[in-house]
Amino acid sequence: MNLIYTAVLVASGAVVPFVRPLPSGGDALHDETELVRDAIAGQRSAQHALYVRHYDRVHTRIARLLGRSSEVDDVLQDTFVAAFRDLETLGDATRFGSWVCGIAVHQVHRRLRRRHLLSRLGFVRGPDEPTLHHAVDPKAGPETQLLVKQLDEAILLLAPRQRLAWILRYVEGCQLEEVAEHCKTSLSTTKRDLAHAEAHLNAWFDNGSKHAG
Amino acid sequence: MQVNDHSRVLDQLELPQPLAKVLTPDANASRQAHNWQRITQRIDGGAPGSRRMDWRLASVCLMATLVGTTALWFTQADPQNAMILAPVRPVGAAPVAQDVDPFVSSFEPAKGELRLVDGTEFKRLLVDDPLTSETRVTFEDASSITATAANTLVDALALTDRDVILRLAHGAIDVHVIKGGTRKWVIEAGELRVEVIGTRFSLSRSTTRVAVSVLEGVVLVRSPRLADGVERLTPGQHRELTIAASTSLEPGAEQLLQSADAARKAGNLPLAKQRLERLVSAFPTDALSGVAAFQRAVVMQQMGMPPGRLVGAFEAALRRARGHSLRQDCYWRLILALEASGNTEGARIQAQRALREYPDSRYAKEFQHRVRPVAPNPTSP
Repeated sequence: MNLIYTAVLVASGAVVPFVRPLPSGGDALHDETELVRDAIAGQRSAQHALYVRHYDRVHTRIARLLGRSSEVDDVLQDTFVAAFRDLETLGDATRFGSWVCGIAVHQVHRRLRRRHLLSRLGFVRGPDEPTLHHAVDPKAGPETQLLVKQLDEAILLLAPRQRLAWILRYVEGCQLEEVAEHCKTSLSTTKRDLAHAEAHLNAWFDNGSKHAG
Repeated sequence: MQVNDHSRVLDQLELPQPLAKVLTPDANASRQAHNWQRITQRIDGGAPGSRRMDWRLASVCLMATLVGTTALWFTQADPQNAMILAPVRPVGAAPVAQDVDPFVSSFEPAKGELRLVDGTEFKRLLVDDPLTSETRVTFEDASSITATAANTLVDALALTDRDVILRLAHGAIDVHVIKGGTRKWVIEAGELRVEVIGTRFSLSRSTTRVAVSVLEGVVLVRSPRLADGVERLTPGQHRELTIAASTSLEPGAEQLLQSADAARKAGNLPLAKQRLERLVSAFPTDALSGVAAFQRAVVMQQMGMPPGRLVGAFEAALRRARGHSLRQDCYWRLILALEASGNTEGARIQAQRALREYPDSRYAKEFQHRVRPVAPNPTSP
């Protein structure tokens, strides 16, 4: 009877049921620190919570950098396995997201270098898959889709490290220091890679071939 | 070294919106659980990592190749017993063996009927409007079918532990069959049948044509209208069959542009030119007609047509071009064609117009060079 009475009060708005407030930014960071600590201790639920929390970001980053979607899942699995294996080396637990993205970039770079080697040996079939065109919003106009497709053709011609640096900087919006950290290079090397990438892309478009394909 | 906050390349492309706003998030929620399962297996030591699997499979492949080559040399093996997809088989014949990609990182044996990722049975994909309907179905082995056009209908004919047989009644689909599986996929599309194992390809069917384009892997296409009834397509290849019909639906502008692009890449420049001209005449107000007109002029240039004709072609492209970036390219190519035809005054006039319209163009320096009057030589009499 008490339960029914309570339900009636709630339904009438006389009583507002207690709702756990959403965590503020500070709570989320504290939460993440706890999750990292529990994950280091081997708690599967904590590892899963971290995985779910950062899955979208890591998956999107890998897909934007790698292109060939049949390998994205492999790289994502490699990334999280490496992250949970080396989690003790993460100094600042609040930086887990950025740190795991850095592992993902490193894994992508290894894949691109290995793909380059295998293609020279004739073991890799088919061209690299566009990295950005498949992610264009279908509602974008046909000209936008064409321009991004042509941008993809130009990007695929860049060396692996230049490609990674350019996409991280100008598509993902990473700061220079973050790009250098993810690519495991010095800041000056990253700047050089970006400048070379811009120069190559400019030269590619200046040949007028972007509209001719 | 100074690095800009913005990419000059992206600035010059002049996308209607920033690139970040045009791109949608890429995460595939349906794969999240599958990936977590694999991760936990590897953490617990139950499944090998992708890297170790690559080398193991590569070694097995190498051994198999050596054994197979030796056996072939000694016994002159019957091609029908070869462990590859036979290129010539009568239409409707049962498939032979399966082609396993030795560089695939995971290999999942089929178990029972193939179901969707949520465990339900797949019967049909019907998409009226891709903007308002769910366009993709994902299977439990992560293979997927995505409708890419309005009015698309795909029926399931058979889903077993060995075969997935679907029928594309009409419309267009992108198909992604995960590598490493042991099911053979067959998509019936009227005049044409597509057989695949691990691949990505696009298939479209209308009342007037059926077309398949391969992005990844190998595809077998069967049709009584093909030579020997079958053709093997590899990435980048495209096969199209037209269907005679009394009333036909015209292919859209996008399809014409794609087919022109395919013809150009196949080296058939006259066919590419013809398709681009058809696009321009059939869709004069479409946003793609400007791009098509420009591509037509470039194809004419590649065909070695005289500069006088190229001038007319690039002028026509400039009249149709709408996008800023495209118009700048049109101006530049037109100026070069005018100069090649000996019309330097015409080139100067176009350079003036281009500078007026795009004072900050990436070709600004070249335009200014042609507009600046040549200073008289002070030493000449």
